[in-house]
Amino acid sequence: MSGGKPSPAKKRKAPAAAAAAAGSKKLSAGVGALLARLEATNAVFLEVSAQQTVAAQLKAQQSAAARLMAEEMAAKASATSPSLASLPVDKAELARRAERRARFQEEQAAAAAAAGVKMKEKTLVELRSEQGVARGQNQSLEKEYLRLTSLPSAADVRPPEVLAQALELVKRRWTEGCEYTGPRGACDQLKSIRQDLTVQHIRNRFTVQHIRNRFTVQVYETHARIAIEVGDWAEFRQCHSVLQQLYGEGAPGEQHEFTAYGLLLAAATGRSVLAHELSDALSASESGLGAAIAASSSSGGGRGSSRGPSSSSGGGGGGSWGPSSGSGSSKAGGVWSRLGGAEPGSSTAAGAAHTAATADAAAVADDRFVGHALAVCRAFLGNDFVNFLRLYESAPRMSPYLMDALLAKMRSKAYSTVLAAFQPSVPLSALAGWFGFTKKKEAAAFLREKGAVVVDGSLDVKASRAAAAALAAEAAAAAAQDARR
Amino acid sequence: MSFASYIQAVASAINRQDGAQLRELVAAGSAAAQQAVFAARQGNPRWNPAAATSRLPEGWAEFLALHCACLAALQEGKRVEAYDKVVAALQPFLKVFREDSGAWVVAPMHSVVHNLSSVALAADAELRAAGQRPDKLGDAGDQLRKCFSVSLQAPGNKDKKLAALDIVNVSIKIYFRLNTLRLCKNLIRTVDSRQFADFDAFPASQRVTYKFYVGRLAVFDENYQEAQEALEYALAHCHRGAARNKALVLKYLVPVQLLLGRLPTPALIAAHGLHQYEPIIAAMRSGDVKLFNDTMEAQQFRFIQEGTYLLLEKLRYAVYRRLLRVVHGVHAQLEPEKRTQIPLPQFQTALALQGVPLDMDEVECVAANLIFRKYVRGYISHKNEVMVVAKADPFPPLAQASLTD
Repeated sequence: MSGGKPSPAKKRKAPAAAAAAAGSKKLSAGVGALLARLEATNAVFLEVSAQQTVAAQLKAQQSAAARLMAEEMAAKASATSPSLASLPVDKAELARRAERRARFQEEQAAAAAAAGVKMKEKTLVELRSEQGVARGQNQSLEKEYLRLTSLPSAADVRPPEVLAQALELVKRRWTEGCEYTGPRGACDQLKSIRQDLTVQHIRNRFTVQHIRNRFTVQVYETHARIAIEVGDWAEFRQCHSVLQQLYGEGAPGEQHEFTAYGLLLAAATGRSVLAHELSDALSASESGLGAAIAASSSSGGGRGSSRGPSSSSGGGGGGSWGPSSGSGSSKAGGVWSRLGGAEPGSSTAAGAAHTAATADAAAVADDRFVGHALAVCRAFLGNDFVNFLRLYESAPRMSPYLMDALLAKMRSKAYSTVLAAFQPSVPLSALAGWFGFTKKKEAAAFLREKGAVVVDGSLDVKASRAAAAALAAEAAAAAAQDARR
Repeated sequence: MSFASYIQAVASAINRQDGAQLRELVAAGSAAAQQAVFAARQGNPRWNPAAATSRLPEGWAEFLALHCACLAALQEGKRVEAYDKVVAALQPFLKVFREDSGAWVVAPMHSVVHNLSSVALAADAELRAAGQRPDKLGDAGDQLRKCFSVSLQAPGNKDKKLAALDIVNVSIKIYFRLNTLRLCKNLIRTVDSRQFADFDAFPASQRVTYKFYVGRLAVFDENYQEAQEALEYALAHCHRGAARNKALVLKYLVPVQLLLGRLPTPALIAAHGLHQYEPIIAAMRSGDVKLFNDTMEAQQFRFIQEGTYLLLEKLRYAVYRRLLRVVHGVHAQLEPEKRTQIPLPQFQTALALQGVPLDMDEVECVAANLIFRKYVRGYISHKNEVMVVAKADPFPPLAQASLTD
């Protein structure tokens, strides 16, 4: 290229014409050079493309040859048996096959897109680990209940302020008469509030804030009361057990009211359940706020000492952790005292728990809810139908609903008692009072159901006894038949 | 005792097949074990028992290593971890129990089983304090079922069956605490079955414990005759010096006897300190309803905690019956020609005199129940407000009453 550029010195020396001539010469030289360069690259390009075309041609030739071979084979094969290979593998077929291969890609793409979206949303757990606290972001007051199958995302969960408003909304709607079941029903809404609470660990005692605990208690109490009113015993039992736990942790709420409901439910279930519920109720009362640990172990101790002769082994008495008389060194003594701190086992601990228990338990039983419930249990078990009905009249808050379950059994037992004890007849007016019917007509209907014989406004005892015996015999025969089957 | 000498003691007990000694050493409350583990941990904070126990026979080595790890965890206050260790220790122990052909392994089984139960209790206390669900005791019950089935199979030596009753007792204790009493029924059925070893072959303490629980379960089922038999067996076979145990048995036996109409002598009450029943017994003797009601109200919590409240409530009718009998006697004296009748207003007055004012409806209810439950033979005429009783034996003995609800 050095020839194409006249030296600047020469250019200055030459006159304009010479310059013009030199310029045109330069131009053509430059153009020539450019062309040469272009040609060079073009040549390379052409070569490459030529090679490519050559390669493509080769490939095409090869595939053609393969196709031919396949066709030959197919022809051979089809001569023997028809199969998929006998399909002509032409362009259309290849296109169809490519389409089939790609049939899931759309769905996969959609799923990937969705997963991509989910991964962008933060779950509560991530929030908590990042910021140390997890607060939900959902602001809606109504939310349908769905069982959680994975970690909840922060955008779905409602923070406590919203939950408080949601609870108020549920309460208001319930008093106005909304329904219980269904996605907008009270049960569903309450369950989703409970879920949001649990998921944000507002129940956890280590988050400490008592305000939150009080709210949690309110939610469960509300749901429990509504469940009683409707008769949803499964839900009530759930709420009841959670409430017992919360009260045990020291959360403030209507502890006695729900102890009473627990007792009434247990009475409807059976004697041994009631016995256990009773002892649970009174031992739960021993704990004050935050004394739950001591209470559970000391009540365990109190019960442990009454649990019967323990066969002797290793250490001493009821538990194996009390300081054994044989321990010698002071080091071991230190160990013992550490171990023996909150453990059941020593009788003095049980005794101390006992006196504390009587004082607190007196307070529990004096409470109007629990006192009433205890009286109901006594009356129910003692078949004291007259007092039972009087207690029914004076039942506080939701107790009447719970007593309804007992009422049916009580009435039927009362009827058997009357049949066994009275002769010759009992007027309906008296019976109505004893069975808890305000109108004689209702009493008459009840009696008719039992197969009683009512004459002149009085129950004819003898005839009714016969009828009852006949009914019982029928029932026994039916039961025997069922058993045989 | 240092850890090395502890292992030495264990090894020699295994070699000598000394079941009793091994039981002592392996009990969770054993002072020797506690000291040894404590000393080892003081010496080396990262001490691992597995190294030291490796010289023991196979199976025992793993068991003891895990057992010591459990003790170490307890000393550090990590009870839930200790429970996991004790459950892990169960597997190698059951293996040696199965494989060893001597009956001496029965004694260590007792320790293992008791360890399981007490550590589970401790672990549950810790879980409860942390606000979590205490499910370790239930898990212990499941583990015990494994021990029970191994013991029943008694592979290699029939005498291994003697481990079974103790396992049953511990399991029943756990079920009582958890209030899953229906699970006890299966255990009792197995004990009563023929494949179980002869009942008298077991040590007295285990038999007493077992009968005690059978009695209490019978009370729950309202099977009072059976309860009385079981509890009386327990009392009779109780060791002469075990005053506390006797008092416990009597605590449940006395109410059952009272229901059946047998009142204990003052000497018995004084001997065992059962003074809580004195007012009840007095009320039953005299028909003093007011005394009965007051006592029940005052001692409500105590009786509930002892588990006898519902049982004692049943005695109310016995007290009413007594009072009615007195009224019947008085009326018979005043109006001999109407001796089979008891005017209900007189019953009402008698109650009012005691300080128990009941209205007529309540009085009729009480009277009706007395007849319904066969405390009294007769009937009530509502119109005349009179109870007419049978001429012969109007007040049959209490044991004949229908005591179930």
